[in-house]
Parts: sequence; C-alpha cells; structure tokens
Amino acid sequence: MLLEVSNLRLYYRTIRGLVHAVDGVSFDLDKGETLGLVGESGCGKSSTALALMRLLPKNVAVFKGKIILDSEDITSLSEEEFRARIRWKKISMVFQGAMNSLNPVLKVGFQVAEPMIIHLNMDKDEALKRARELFKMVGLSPDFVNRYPHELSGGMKQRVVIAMALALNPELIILDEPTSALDVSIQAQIMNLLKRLKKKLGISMIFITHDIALASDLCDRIAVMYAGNIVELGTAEQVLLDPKHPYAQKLIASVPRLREDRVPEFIPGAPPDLVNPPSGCRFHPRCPYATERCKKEEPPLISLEDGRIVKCWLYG
Amino acid sequence: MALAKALAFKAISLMIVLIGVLFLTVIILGMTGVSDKILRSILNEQLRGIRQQLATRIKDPNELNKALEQIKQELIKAYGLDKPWYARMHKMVLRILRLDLGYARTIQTFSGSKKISDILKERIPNTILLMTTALLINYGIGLLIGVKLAAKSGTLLDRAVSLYSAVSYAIPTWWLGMLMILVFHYYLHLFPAGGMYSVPPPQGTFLRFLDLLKHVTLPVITLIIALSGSWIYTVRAILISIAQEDFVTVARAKGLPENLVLRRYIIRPAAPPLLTNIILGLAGSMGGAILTETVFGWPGMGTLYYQAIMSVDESLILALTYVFTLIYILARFLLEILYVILDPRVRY
Amino acid sequence: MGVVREAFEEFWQSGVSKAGVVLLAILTAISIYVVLTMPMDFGTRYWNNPLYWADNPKAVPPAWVNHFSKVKHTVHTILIASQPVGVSYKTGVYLKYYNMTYNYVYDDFPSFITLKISNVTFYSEPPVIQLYITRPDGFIIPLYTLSIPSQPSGLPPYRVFSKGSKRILLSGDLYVARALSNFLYEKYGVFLGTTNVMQIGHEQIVFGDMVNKTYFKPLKGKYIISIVLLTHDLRDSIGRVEFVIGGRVYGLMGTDTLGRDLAKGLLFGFPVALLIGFVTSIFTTIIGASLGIISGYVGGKIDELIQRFADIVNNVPLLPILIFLCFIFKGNLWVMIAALIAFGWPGLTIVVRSMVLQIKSAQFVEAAISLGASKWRIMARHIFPNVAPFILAQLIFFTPSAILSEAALSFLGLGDPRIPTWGQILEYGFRNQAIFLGYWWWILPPGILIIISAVTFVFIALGLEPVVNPRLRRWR
Repeated sequence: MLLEVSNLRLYYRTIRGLVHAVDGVSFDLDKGETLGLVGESGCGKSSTALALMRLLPKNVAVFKGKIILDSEDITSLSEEEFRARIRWKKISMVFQGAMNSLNPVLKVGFQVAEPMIIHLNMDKDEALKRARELFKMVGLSPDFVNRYPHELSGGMKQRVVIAMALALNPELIILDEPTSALDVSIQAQIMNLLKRLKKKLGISMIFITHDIALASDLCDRIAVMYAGNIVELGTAEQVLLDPKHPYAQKLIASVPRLREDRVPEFIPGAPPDLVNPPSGCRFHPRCPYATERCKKEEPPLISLEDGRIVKCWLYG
Repeated sequence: MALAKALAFKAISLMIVLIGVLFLTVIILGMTGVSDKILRSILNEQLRGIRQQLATRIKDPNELNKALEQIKQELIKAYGLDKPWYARMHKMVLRILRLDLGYARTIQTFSGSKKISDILKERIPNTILLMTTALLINYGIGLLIGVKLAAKSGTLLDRAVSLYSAVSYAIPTWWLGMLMILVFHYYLHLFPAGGMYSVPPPQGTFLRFLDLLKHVTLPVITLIIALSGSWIYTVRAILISIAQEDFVTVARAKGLPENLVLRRYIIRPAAPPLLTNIILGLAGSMGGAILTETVFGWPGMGTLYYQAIMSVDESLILALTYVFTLIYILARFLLEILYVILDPRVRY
Repeated sequence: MGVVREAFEEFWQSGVSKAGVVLLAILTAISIYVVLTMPMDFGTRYWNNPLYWADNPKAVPPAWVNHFSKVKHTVHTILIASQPVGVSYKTGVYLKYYNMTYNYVYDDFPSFITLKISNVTFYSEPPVIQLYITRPDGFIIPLYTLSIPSQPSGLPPYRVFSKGSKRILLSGDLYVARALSNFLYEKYGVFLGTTNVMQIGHEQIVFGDMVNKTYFKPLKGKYIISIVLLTHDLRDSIGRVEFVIGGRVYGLMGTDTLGRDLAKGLLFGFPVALLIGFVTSIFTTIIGASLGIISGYVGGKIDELIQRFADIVNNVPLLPILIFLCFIFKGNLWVMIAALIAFGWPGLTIVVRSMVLQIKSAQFVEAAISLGASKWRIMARHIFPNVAPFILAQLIFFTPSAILSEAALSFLGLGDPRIPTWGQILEYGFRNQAIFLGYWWWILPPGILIIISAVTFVFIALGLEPVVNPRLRRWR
C-alpha cells in the first residue's frame, strides 16, 4: 500500500461561515495504481488534493485526518520536513489550468529543472540536461527548455507541467483536471501521454476530474465525491457500468453517449451549500430514494461483497 | 532582432515626443514674438563681445559705431531677424537640437559664464544626484514595505498605509518641503535650510561628503514621503495579485523554500508591472524633484527654473523645457530597455 | 433608478466615501458663501492692493494664539468715534471732544499706532485738531496736532478728507517723538532726545511704564484717546475719527508681510480651487472619453490616428510644458487650465478605448447591430452607459491633480495675479522667507487647505472604485 488516507477533513473560514470542503474522506492507493476522483465542481476534489500536498490556504480552520505514505504518517511531519522530504520528491502535482502554472518570466526548462536543483542539489547544467530528457519523454522538443511560457501553446505548456511533475521521480502524481482547459484534440493527446507514462513509469496517480468518462479511460479505480464525502469507491468498471450510489448513478446517466439513443439526464436540485450541509446523507434532498432515515442519520461507509465501498443506506 | 525592433520602435516614438515638444515650444515662441526677443538678446550679447574686440583696434568712436552697425546688420540677416518667425523656425529647431541654447539674462556659472549650456552643465549633475538618490531610496523602501504589507493584507496596519497613500497623493511635495524646513531647520535646528554645501564648504573629501549628506537629507526625505505613499500602494496591490497566481501555488508544491518562492515567483514576476508603474510615474517624480529643489535652493535645474521665472528669462525657460524633456526621454528609454530585459514577453 | 440607488448604497458603505462627501459638502458650502459675500474682483481690488491693508499689522500670527500663550499679545484694535462727547468754550475758541476709551490688558506693546481723520467740515477758518491720550496713571500726553490746510475756494461749508481719510502714522512721527520726549522728562525726569525716543518706539512710551529709568513694561488699564477740534464756529465738525492700535496678533489666520488678512485670502481660495478642479476635470474627461469611445468604436484609420496622437501627448513630461506655457502667457489662469486639459486627456482615451473594444464584442451590442441600430445610437445607448461609471470615477480623480498642478505652478510664481489662490499665498510666503522667519500661520493653513481639497476627491474616487470596478469586470 502506497497511500492510506483516513478521515481527512478540511474546513475553510469565510464571511458566510465554516465551509466543510473535505469532510471525512478515506481511501487508499496501491503502488502503480491510478485512482480517479470524480465529482461536480465544488465537491471537494481539489481541496482533497491540496490537503494531500498540505497546500492550505490562509483561511483554513480545520485540517484533520491521517495520511500515511509509504507507511509513514506524513501528517505528523513539521512544515519544513514536509516541504523538504514530501513535496515533489514523493508527491508531485499537475495543476488545473496549465496556462497559469508556469512562471512567465522564467524559462520553462529551468522551471522543470528547479526542483532537481533544490531537492537533489544538482548543478544547473546537469538539471537542465535531465530536463531535456524529460521534455523528450513528454513529447516536446528538448530545445524548448530555452523557451518562455508565452512562446508555447496550451498543449505544450501542459506537457511542460507534466514533465515538471516527473522531474524527481515521485511515487505519486496528483493530476488536478489536467486537460479541462485544453481543446478536445489536445486533450486526447495529453490523455494518451498520461496513459503511456503510466505504463512506462509505473507511477501511482490520483486523477481528479469532473468528467467520469475521462476518468474511466485512465483509472484503475474511481472514487465518486459528493459534498466533501466519497460516496462510492470501486474499480473503474464497477463504478462506470454498475454504479450503486444514487448520485453515482445520476452522474453516469448524465454523460452523453455517442452510440446510444438516450437523452442524457440531469441531476435535479442544486449542489449543497457546504457552509450548512444537509443533515444525514448529504445527497438526500436530491435523491429519488431518500427515506426518513436518510434525512436524520449519516450513512456509514458500507463495503459490498464485490469489494467496493458505498456510502448509502440503501445498502446498509 | 525582434528585440532591436521593439527598442527601435520605442526610441522612435520617444523621439517624436521630443521633436513634438520642441516644435510646440518654438511655434508658441514665434507666434508670441518671444523668439524675436530671445534672438535679439543673443545678438546683443555677441555684439558686446565684438565691440570689445574692435575697440582695441579701432580707436575712433564714429568708426567703431559704423563698423559695429555693419556687423549688426550682418548678424540680423544671419539670425533671420529680418524675416518672419516661421521662416527661421527650422534654424531655431536645429540650434536647440545642437544644444546651442543662447545666453541667460542674469544667471551665471561659478566661473561667470552666461552661456546656458555652461549653466546647465553645472546644474544637471546636481539635479540627477538628488533625483536618483531620492527615487532609488523611494523605490527600495516601497518594495520593502509593499512586500511586508502584501503578506498582511486586510490588517489594520495595511488599511492605515492605504489611507496614508491617499493622503500622500494629495500632499504637494514643495509644501511638504517648506514644512520640513520650518520644523527641522527653524524650530529644531537639526538640518541646514537649503543649498548643497555650507558656505564656505568644509575642507577635505570626507567632511565635504558629510556636509553634502546633511544638505541632501531634508530634500530626499521630503521627496520620499511625498512619493512613497502611492508607490507602496502600487507595490502592495501588484504583489497581492501575483501572489494569487497559480504558478505561486505550483512553486510551493514544488517544495521550494518560502523565501525563494517570494523572490523568484512573486517579486520577480512583479518586476515588469512594477517597472511599468515607475515608467508611468517618472514624469511626475521628476516634476516633484524639480519643485523640491526650488524649496531647498538645491543648485539644480529646479532652482534654475525658479530663477529663470523670477528673472523673466525666456531663453533659459526654453532651454530648460527642452533639456528637461530630453533628460526625461533618456531616462524613459533606459527604463524601457530595463523593461525589455525584465519581461521576456515583450522580447519576441 | 434602481441601479443608481444600489450603486450609491455600495458607495456609501465605505468610510472614505462618507469622509469625502462630507468634506465636499463643506468645501462647497464655504465656496457658495464666498461667492455670495466677496466681490469677484477681490484679487485686483483688495488682495493685491497694498493700500487696502495699510492699517493692518505686518506678519503677525492669528489672535487665537493668545489662548495658548502665557504672554498675552496685543490684539489688533480699531477705535472709532463719530459724535463729539462734549463741547467747551475758552477764549473765543470752541473745543469739541471726540473721545474713545481703550482697555489695554496685554503683555506686549502694539506694533504701531495710527490716527485716521475723515470728513472734516468747517465754515470759515480751518480748524485745528489735537490728539491727547489720558493714561491709567493720570498723565495726559498731548500727542499730535493737525492743522487743516488753508480753506479751499468756493462757498462754505468746506469739506476736507472726504474722499479718503487723512492717515497719520503716529509711530515714528517726529512731532510725536517730541511730545513723548517732553512726557518722559515730566514724568520720570529722564531726558531722551527724539532719536532715542524713535529707537525705543512710540508705542512703548505711550503704553508703557518706565522701570528703573531703563526699560518699559506695559502699563495696563484704561486709556482715553481724545481728539479735540479747536474752532471758532460751533457748526464745524469731524465726520469720523479712527485710532488704530496695531496688534501683535490679528484675526483668525494672522497677516502676511503686506498686512493682508490671510483669512480673507484663504477664504477666496475655496471657490477658486473648486473652479480649477472642476473645469479642468470636466473638460479633460469630456475630451478624453469621447475620443476614447470614437477611437474604440469607429476603429480603423481614425482609431490608429487617435491612439498614436494620444500616445505621444501622454508621453510629454507635463511640468516643464506647463511651466513654459504659463510663463509665455504670463500668469493667466485660463491658459493654465487649457494647458492642463490639453495634456491631461490621453490616459483616459487609451483606457476608455480598450473598454469600448471589450463592450463592442459583448453579445447585446452584436444583437443591436444585427437589429440594424445606427452607429451613433449604439454608441449613445449601449456603449456610453456602460463606460459612464468609470468615466465618472475618472472625472473625480482628475480633480485633485488639477488643484495640485495649479498650486505647484503658482508656487513657481506663475499664478494668475488677478485671482488669489492658496498656491500664490504660499509662493508669496516662500519668497518673503516665511519659513526662515517662523511664520507658520502663513505656511501651514494654505498647504493644509490644498491637501484637504485634494484629499476630498481622492477619498470619493477611492469610494467609487469598488462600485465602478465590478461593473467593468463583467466585460473582461
């Protein structure tokens, strides 16, 4: 087991009140495995990623839970230890919107080489040489190391950002909506690149997306998030073909299919207010199967026989 | 190549400004008849010199006057004073471009020269000394405080500084200078009221330097107080907006030490917009320095301006207008080059 | 209307907005008061006419400094009498008494004393006028005698000093010095020549008590100043006598070296500052905004032309050009305002243009175009309303810079002498060494007023910023 996250909580303080962005998330991840984290925007997927990297915004009120990486409890590390030992060395990240992920006044090659200079004490030339190799690996001309971000297209920038994430051979890469800002054709290229890297390097990944179809393309297992909770976690096949949680069912039904004569459904109601989350099961106001119990009691994580986990009273 | 092209484009547009100012001033001088006045004063100055030369050779006063009259007529022709102003406009423009600026009415250099180019040669270094000292310190202080405040945005201190910025924008620099003299010279006797050196100046390089330091303190502090408010505010606003950029989060995720993140991912990317603000504020800062000089009697261009106005010296005003614009444009161009170095985006 | 109301409520939320609006209301109220009560030619008729201020003490602080000082300084006082208090008859001569009482309670001496006589009427021979001062110690000093020059031609009654009053500066007068020399001998037995008396100063002797025959200290108490008209005809009279005791402090704001009442000059500066600020900012905004809208909306060659021109004008260093223009056109406020406008518009043009370009591509404008609306209609109905809040904020923001520019140019001696401004008061103070002589009352108030008037608009502009910006952001 590479990563074990249990009962992760992250609350923000805002003028309106406490935002329960991540509220008791637990999952684990094997070496070389890819986990998809799927949900609507604002469901806490990105916050989960930031919590794993311990990149907390200033207004954090609560940050609790256990994160065990390589059988080490990294939540107990000091800020400085975490920065020097975990960030980028063990967990790296590809952020949402590659457009803004690169410093506009530094050459992209240097930005890829920089973690090697800082963390591995490489000298600059050596690090740049390795950056050129990484560029080749992600399908960029090695000469692009001398370019500035504004001289690259969106797809190229995303490749640079991926190369940057690979720089220190991390054990885990978190990909936060790595393709959502790109054109569809470029999106496909990037997805292919990610699949190739996964096969070639055997790195574990957490793939965050709102697009469950995209997640199924790359991921071994998929976790569906709703309102700060994981509501269903199973293999990609299980979740995609036979979702159990009513929300997961709705989510999958809302995906348009090319070869099916079916009108995509939408999920009635609005995403919940994370300042005042609904009582009991957070999905109950939008759930067609909701019972009195759902309103009052929060369902536990229920393990089904086929190994998946569902957070729903229908199965309890 | 593209770099050279961008700079050439800037240089050309700044040259147009310079030429535009030059033509505007020359046309106004011509239309108001002031250019005739200026030329006549130059001519008379020259005639006086010639008279002294001739007087050694020609002893007969009648002969002398006759010879002088002849020379005078020649000079009038040479200067084009027999023609309307627009016919000799190009000559005047060329004369100014060559920095052949004529003679001052009453002001002279230490060595007694009334040639305006000599006077300016004496004054400009003093202005540049005061201006660059004050502006550099101001930019430095603004950066330091702005960075500190950006990290504390929303606090009471932060809001107090915002208020200070608003008020400091409204304070006339020159009035602040007068206030400083009143407080620190008249009441507290801490600093000299003006000038650049004591009279007589102390002997020895080090003592002279100390003396200069004592004289430069009040004008520099005045300028800094007046200019720093809006500058700190600008630095703070730009840094706050950059600190929210994604690439800063990426830098932190990369496990870079916090001071490196600040330096390389917040301050360094802030350099181009900060420089843009410096460029936009340059004319204003230089104007502030000119007015401050006047208050403190600092022997530079600003005081010269005041003296020229008080002695109703048209040639000197024209020369100062041109030279000030020239210095501004040179400074502007230096900053533009710096901008190109700092911002890779404009280089290609 | 709802939008305006909502915007106003948002604006009114911040403290700076409230402060700005309150200040603006005060500035406006004072300006209206000044326009209603002071003549428009105040500058030429009074301010720059030294005669008008001749009776004022020169360069003295405001009267209220007495509240903060142990030494009570002589307050400027003008005593007036226009009716005789009594008449007596002595050997064929009538004596008409015009008396004034003065309670002297100060710790220093007056800066000067002046007698002013107006409207003397007589029927036959010219009368003689005498001035006596009765001191608290009972001594009467016959200070001055004025003989009316021989009678003018024509029929009686004859009038003299009717056009302008006869002004006698008693301080430093040789005749008065003789009288005082006699007085000193009589009272203290000290003989001092007129030269010595002049050195001591007449005021010290009149209002002082000699201590140890060496120096004078103020003699506090009631003084009676009597003007006596000696005449043969009972009908003869003096219209009005004034006795001016020059203060060591004066009025609300003190005086300058010409004796001008600074309070009056400062007061007149209010409407002038607002006028300069508003006229400049309104015209700058109109020119800048319309060129920007045209440039952005029409596009093409016109756009290119306007933008190139704006760029060039925008890069002209303002101060030297302003100095040059104001110098050549000799202190004319309108030239100054015109120059500020001529070089002030480009910034706004450039920004408004870029905003118009964004709005132009917005859907509702495209919809209007496809519905066949004319260019002008689209500009007026769709584009202008969307940039208007920003333009309004700019209008407010230009105002302080105009006020500050005028002050700066005035400080360099390029102000309009017909129209006194705060900057000019400061310039005159600076030229007369006020800062080296410690005349704080001459330096502080004008500067503070400049700051207050500028800060008023800065505050309002700051308050408008959050109101205006989100409206702009929609198009970004």
